[in-house]
Amino acid sequence: MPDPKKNLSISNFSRQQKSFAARCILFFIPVIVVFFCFEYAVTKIPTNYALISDVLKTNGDTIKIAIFGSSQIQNSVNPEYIDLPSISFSSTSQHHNSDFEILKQTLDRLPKLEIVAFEVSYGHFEIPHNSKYFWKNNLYLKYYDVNTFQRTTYFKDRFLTTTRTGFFAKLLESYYIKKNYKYDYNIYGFDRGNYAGKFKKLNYNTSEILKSTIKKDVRIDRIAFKYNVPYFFNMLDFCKEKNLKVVIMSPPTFLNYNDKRYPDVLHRRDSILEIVKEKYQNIYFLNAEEDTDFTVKHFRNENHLNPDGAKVFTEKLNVLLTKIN
Amino acid sequence: MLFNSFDFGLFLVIVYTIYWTLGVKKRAAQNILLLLASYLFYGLWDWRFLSLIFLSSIVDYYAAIGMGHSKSIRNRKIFLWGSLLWNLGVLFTFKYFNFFLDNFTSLFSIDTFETSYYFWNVIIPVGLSFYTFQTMSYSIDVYRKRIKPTHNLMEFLCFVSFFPQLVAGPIERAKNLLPQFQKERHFNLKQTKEGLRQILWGLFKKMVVADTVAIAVNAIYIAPNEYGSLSLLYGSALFFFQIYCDFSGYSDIAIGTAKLFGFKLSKNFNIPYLSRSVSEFWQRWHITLTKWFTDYVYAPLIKNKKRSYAAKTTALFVTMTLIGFWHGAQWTFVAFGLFQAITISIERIPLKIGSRNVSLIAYLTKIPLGLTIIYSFTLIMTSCIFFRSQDLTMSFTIIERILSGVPSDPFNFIIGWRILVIPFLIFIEVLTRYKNYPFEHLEKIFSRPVRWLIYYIFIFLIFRYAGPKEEFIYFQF
Repeated sequence: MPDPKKNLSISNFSRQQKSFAARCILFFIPVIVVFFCFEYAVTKIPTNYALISDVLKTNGDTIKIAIFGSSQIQNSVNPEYIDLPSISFSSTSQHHNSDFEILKQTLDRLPKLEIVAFEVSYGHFEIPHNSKYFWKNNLYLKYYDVNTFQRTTYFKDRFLTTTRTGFFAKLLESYYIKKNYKYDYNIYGFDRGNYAGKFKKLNYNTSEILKSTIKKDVRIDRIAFKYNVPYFFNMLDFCKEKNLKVVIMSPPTFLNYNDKRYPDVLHRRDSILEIVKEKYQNIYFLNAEEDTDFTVKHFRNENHLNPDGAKVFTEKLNVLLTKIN
Repeated sequence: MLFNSFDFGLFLVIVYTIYWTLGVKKRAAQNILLLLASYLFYGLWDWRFLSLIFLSSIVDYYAAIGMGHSKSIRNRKIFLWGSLLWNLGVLFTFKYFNFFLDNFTSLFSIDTFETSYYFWNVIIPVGLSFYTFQTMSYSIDVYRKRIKPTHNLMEFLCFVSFFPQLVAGPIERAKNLLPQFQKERHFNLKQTKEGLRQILWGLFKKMVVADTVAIAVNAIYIAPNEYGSLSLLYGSALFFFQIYCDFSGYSDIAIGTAKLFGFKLSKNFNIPYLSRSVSEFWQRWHITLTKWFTDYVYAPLIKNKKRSYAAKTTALFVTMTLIGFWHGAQWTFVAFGLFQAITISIERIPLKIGSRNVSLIAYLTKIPLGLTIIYSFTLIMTSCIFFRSQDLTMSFTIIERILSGVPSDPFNFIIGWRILVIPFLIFIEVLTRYKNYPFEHLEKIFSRPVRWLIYYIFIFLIFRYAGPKEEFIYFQF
């Protein structure tokens, strides 16, 4: 008989160790149960990601237009007003590297895709890309089946609560306990009730708004710029290779935001777009940064539109898309 | 694999279970397991750099053996310099090359866009400065005959790559850590519990305090020109707490994790904001790094303690500048080190009052603690501005705006009531200041149900109030 104590076995554990293991299990069982309840409850909260995922699953084979970008685009484009079948993958803080992965990994699910729209708003090239620890990576994997982790994924990468626990705890509290989680998503995941913000708070009073301070959300970052620009060109090369037409968009921003822009940042961005214009044939532009059709009542804050503003911007985008198509 | 991630939790449970299942008699097998786990842990950052850590280990291992076998001082010196050149060469190549290239090209007005960025566009291996310093200290100690070289490669590889402290310290000396790989480790229930408690406290500091405070710091430091002096002062003070909780939280998790495997790592922090002077601050902040530079740079420079003030000050400036530079290849870190050197040298100026020889440090011990804390915190916070800024221009702009009393925009805490995490942290730490960490020896005060309740409360606080996940600041060093 082999001596069990010489093998890799739990029989090697002393009584003290076994008792410790039992206590650990006893201690962590409630934590694990609460975690899974928490996770389940979070997935039951209606989100735009779930709706976008539904659009991808049910209409994927008819979609002709895919829209990418950050919250500026998310707040500016309501696919409801686009005549051609479309989907908007845009979401808060989403940068080009996430956009590109989503595009590459959903392309086979979008066989009729003809046009893609990317955001290149004023400071886009100076903002570092999403990191491999970006909390939305789990959301992309869970809802779009897209891996933006830059590594192999595991079962735990589909958990939402481990990514931004505090945020989801607050969301749960708001949805289930305080019941003040307000949303009015349409089938495309666009929130039609998203008016709340600084401008509404100031009653859309332009003089008050202009007097108020705004925080710059962009800083001069040449290192990010040096990295982001070649990456963006890769994205355009990919689209060219796949015969996709590209729209480069920059949504409207309010007067005081425009006044605060760094001239250097603006100049660098525009010079890159000039190069793009010369180098590629399949590119179209929609720059509404200083578009005077947008009034104070179209904004939530300095650089985000409200649903009324989104309607105007999307209609302009629709005209361009129809023309391109 | 971040310490505050699900991945690390899973990894730890698996490695821990196998480790103790192997049994205490199988020390060699446990070492192999620790080495494999450490290489896996490191390889998950970037597999390519595993070869670097392995090569560094091999170079230092054989250099030390060479020194052990050599009879002549000359040969011992050759082996020592071989080891030092390798380690410093690796550091220079991966961490400082671009810095020198950029400065060289700027100095001679060469167009840098192509050269500096594309010539050697390499990422810095995680924890490079930590493990390089650890292996260098081993070689120097063998040269000085303070320790004997190990002839067991496995144990040495484990010493260099031990995963709890591999990527951000504490920077261990071979004298302390290596023997722990050479002897049997016995499961110690008390130590295990202490380890878990320390991990919990470290996670709280990192995820709840540091990551929450980071929101305000990032908002202010992204556009300091937009903020008035009060806001900038607030942001800079918060940054001190951010970096303290980030790094000491990491150290607590590292020390706690090591305890689970039967190892004891060195203490790295001792409530630094209670320092009476900047000199004392460095005895409470990143203690293992301070000791490293004291033993291997400062002490050899002054040679004996009776040297003049000028000689000691020169050595101090060299040491502190190097400490600054150790943090990263940027002028801001050099300025950080120099600022510390200036303040410490002022504190040390020998003064003759009447018949007595005194210095500012001696004087500071005699005035009320609250005032000295304000004094040292103000200076440390100022140096933190250099640490956090993108470049020197930004540092000076912030300092100028603070000093010139630029009216603050309607001041707000940015993180609202969550700012209370700072007084909460201070309260807990000051209350338990004679312990290594607040949860130490908790069983002496509370019964098990109360202890469990405390643990559950802290787990809840971590789940509920964790800030957006930020990478540990010191990983980049």
